[in-house]
Amino acid sequence: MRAHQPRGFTITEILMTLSLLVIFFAAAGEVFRSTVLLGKSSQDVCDTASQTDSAMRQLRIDVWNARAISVPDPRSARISAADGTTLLWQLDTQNNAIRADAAARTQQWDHIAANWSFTTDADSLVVSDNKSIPQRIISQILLTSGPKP
Amino acid sequence: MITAIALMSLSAMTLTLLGTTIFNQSRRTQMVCEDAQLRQFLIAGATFALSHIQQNSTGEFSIPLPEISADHSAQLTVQINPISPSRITADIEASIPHHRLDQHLIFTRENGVWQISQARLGR
Repeated sequence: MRAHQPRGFTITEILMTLSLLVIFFAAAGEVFRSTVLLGKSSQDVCDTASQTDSAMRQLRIDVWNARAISVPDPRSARISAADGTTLLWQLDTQNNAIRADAAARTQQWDHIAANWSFTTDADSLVVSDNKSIPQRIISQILLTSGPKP
Repeated sequence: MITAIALMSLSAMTLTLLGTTIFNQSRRTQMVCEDAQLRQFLIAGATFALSHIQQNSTGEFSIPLPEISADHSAQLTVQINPISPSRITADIEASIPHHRLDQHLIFTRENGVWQISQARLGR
């Protein structure tokens, strides 16, 4: 005589399986979302770092050859180059860093200058962002020419 | 099974992304430190060039560096070229393994005193 064989699942088993599947897919969705967000923010960090490095490199080259540096306000710096031309660096309200040379040619680095401000001392331009250590950018000409009268 | 494999792939992607970002940022930090060190060398080279120009000494010089720098095979060379009696150029190059920086200086003589009139930092 054959024993009685169950021919399906109980409602409890089905509900438990469905609950586990829901939890599993919710976790999978969250992992997927985190991966996408991480990828995007990682790309943003790289882009900003690259833009910032590019702007700082250009600013360093300009200041290195500066005969005089003035800061009319904390969001702009005027650099008198050794060849007599004047370069103007400005940080606009959209936090773009803009460089304008004597021929009014401009270069722009987008959205890198949040909270940036300029100050100057005897032979350098200081760039602060209120978060990290201020960057002191030295003028080779002013540094070597010694203290000003 | 497929979902589990997909989840593991996603986790691997996340870890790879994190690793890449951390590696890039640490390399950037290292580059910034090395750049700062090289600029210090260039400033020292400019002072060296100025003192030699004041003594009418021209030619190519290799400047001995402090022990801490020499350990890392750092080199600083200065080449001084007279252009005219009142104008001299100096090319200064600082290097450490895998990284170098240079500057081109123009010295002019005004009222008997040599001074830097242009300083072009290399890229």
